Amino acid sequence: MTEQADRHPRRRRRWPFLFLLALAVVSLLLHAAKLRRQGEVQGLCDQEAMMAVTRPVEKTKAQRARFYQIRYFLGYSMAASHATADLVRRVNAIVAPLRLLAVQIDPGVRDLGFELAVEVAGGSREVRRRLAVFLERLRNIHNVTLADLSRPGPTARGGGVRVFTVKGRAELQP
Amino acid sequence: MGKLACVLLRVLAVLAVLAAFVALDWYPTVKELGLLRRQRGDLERKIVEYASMAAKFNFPDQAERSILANAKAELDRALPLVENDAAWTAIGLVDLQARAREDLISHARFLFYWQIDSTKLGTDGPGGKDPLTGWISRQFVNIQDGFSIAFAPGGFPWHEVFSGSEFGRGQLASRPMCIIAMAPLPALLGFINRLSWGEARLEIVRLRLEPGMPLAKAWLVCRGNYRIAAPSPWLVKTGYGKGGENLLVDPDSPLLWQKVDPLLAPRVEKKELPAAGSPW
Repeated sequence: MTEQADRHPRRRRRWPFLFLLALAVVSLLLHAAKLRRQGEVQGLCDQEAMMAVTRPVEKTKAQRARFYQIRYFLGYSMAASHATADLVRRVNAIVAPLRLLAVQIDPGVRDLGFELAVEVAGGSREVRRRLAVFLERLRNIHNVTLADLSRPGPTARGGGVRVFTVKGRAELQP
Repeated sequence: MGKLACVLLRVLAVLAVLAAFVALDWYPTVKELGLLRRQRGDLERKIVEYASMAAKFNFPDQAERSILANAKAELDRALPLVENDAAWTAIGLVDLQARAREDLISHARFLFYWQIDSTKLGTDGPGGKDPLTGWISRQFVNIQDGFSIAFAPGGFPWHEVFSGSEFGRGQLASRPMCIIAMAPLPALLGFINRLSWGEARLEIVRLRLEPGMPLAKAWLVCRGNYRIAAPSPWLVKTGYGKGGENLLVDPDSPLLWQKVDPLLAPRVEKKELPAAGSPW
């Protein structure tokens, strides 16, 4: 009886220790799992970085993009000056019977913006017809993508002469 | 009663210890485990995607690598390397004077930004009154507008071309100048066309031309790009890379998956305008 009574308090004294041990084991297992997973993630990170080094898709794409940009830059100044001079030449060739007063061209990286000041003489119906014919011819120039009368309307110069502004865009063809 | 209280206290103590473990260790660890699992999943997916992308991608061979390197070398060679701004001015002026003589441009003036002031514009040229002087004075405001395009922040459109470029010596500079010329229209157009053929590689920023008989008049604001060894106010500032227009190449373009094809971006050759009288 005394022996049994002795064992019971001993067991009672031991269970807090066992309880804490169980908690610590769970913690240990959780941390072990975390460490293992961290190792896996690190390995995958290394693998990804290695792939980008050994098979550099993005870097190669950037190099290729730059090649095309360099080629474009190297040809641009000649292409722009040729397109500018050629546009003036073509407009001047089709402008009669209107009179070309001024041409302004702003070459952009991809196309040219232009503004023409044209003088038209005649009655209002005749002016409209001549202007329509000119605009039609202008739009038929192979690289002209847009051509339209600009607002505000014409300025009168007296003697039935009016000055119109035509704005448009033309492709830059290298 | 005392025994029950003792048991209750023990239960509370056990729960408190358990709660402490859960709150301070298990919960953060489980949370981190979840995060790591997601990271692992993302990385595995990325690796699979990258591998399948790389399998379809055309990686450069020696020939392509040499084409890419040549393009970079060509870019370096294309820009004149000068000691200072005055040296570039001299190159530009010599270039333009030779061009004007060759193209029989009867009257030509080359102005830099600081020279555009009305007092200097009223001077007579050698051999009598310069017929361009009056016109330049009338066009003064328009020419200033032309310069302002070149000076505008973001006005330099080639940032992407030069990004990451390491010039052996010197920094990239870009400077505007104005060319004013008067000549018969065909000669003037020929001059405008050939303007960019010289060493200064002038790019037209704005042209204004007034056809007239017998002489047509034009002014052009141009931009010259060069490499300069000395400090200069014309250095291209970084940070304005995304102007209104740029040369952004779509990174998803199938073109970039194939080896570069020089035929897709052919060299622009010097091209004359058709002879006078030709309809096109």
